[in-house]
Amino acid sequence: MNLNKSEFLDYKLMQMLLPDYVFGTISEEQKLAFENSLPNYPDLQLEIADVRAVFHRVEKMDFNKLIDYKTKNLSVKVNERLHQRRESDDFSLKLRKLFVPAIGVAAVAIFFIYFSNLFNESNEFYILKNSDKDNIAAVLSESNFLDVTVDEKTNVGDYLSELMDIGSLSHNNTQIIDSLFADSGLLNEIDNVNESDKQITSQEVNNNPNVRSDAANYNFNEEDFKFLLEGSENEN
Amino acid sequence: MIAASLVEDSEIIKAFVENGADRASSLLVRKYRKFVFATALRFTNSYDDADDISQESFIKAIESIQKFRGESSLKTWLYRITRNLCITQMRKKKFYSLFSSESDESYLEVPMDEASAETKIENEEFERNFVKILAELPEKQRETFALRYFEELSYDEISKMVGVSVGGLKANYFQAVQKLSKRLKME
Repeated sequence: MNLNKSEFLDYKLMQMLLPDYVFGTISEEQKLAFENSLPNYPDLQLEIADVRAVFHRVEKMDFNKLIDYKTKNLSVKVNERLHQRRESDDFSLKLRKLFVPAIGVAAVAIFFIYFSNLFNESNEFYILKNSDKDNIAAVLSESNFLDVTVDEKTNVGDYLSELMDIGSLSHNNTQIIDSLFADSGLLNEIDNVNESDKQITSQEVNNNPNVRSDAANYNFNEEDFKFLLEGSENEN
Repeated sequence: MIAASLVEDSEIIKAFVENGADRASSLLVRKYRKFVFATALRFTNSYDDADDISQESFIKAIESIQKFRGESSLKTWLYRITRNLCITQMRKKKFYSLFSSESDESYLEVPMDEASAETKIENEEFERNFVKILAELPEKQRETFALRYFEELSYDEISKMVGVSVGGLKANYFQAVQKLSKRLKME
């Protein structure tokens, strides 16, 4: 604020400068201008006297001491609260880190338990894992919703078709086919199929430790054989 | 140890970057504890609420210190945080007071047992009146008065804090001083 010492300040400006003048926070230039103009405003002179009298007492008040007393432990309180909050956040984070995978594992476990129970209760297909063809046939024949007559003439393709129809074969294809390779006359049929299928089948046979060269004498036709191969390829 | 009030804002920010939150937050709180508490007290008129809001203000500042861009001083930034928390708190209280007939015991309470032994009763009475009258002033006048008179801030700093022009602040300051003076003279 640029003030000319010779100019009188207007009333509004005098009012705006009054508190700073009384409390001594006015610049030297403003102070001179203010004092030069003050004789023109007797009401402001009274105002200044009142403010000085009242604030003389206010200045004696030890607000600073009270605030100081009230806030002396604030730093400790803030740090404690910060640590509590961090611990709480850490705990929540740990809980989330453990909880989410645990839920996932539990869901997977429940899924498997539920479906394995269904599987066991409905079809008893678990037998297939280590079974031979006769076991497959037995399972099919004992199944509640399959009407399969198993005898020596029944071909393996039919068995598998039935299993596929139930809709639970896919994850057991390998075991089933392994079993069939082990105890069936599949190897005898190799001569009846084309070269490509032969190679794939040979690979299957060589990779399977359970395959026996003296497989049982079931009559496989080429269609059965292809069906088995397709099942095996799909599984892969 | 250097007095916390003498520590520069830039040193506090540096401490946050280099030494982690613990030491830096202590510096920040020690430097501005009175300012933040006094600000909260003016808005809430309750020592308990002021204490709670002061803690919350510092925690909020510490947790978001990386957002501080240095465009204003830490004091201005803390003032805004404290003021906003106070306004939120006051709104909540106002809302809950609609459903409760209980009065706040700590409201405008000056703890007698904490006053020094030498303080005279009439001085305590005067002090209580002063706080009460100050609390009754319009917010802009009260804040301008407190920031200028108690905190001895420049008009430019106050202008950034409360968002009022320097001319407006001077007018507010005069109004506040005049009202306080008249009311206290009558008491």
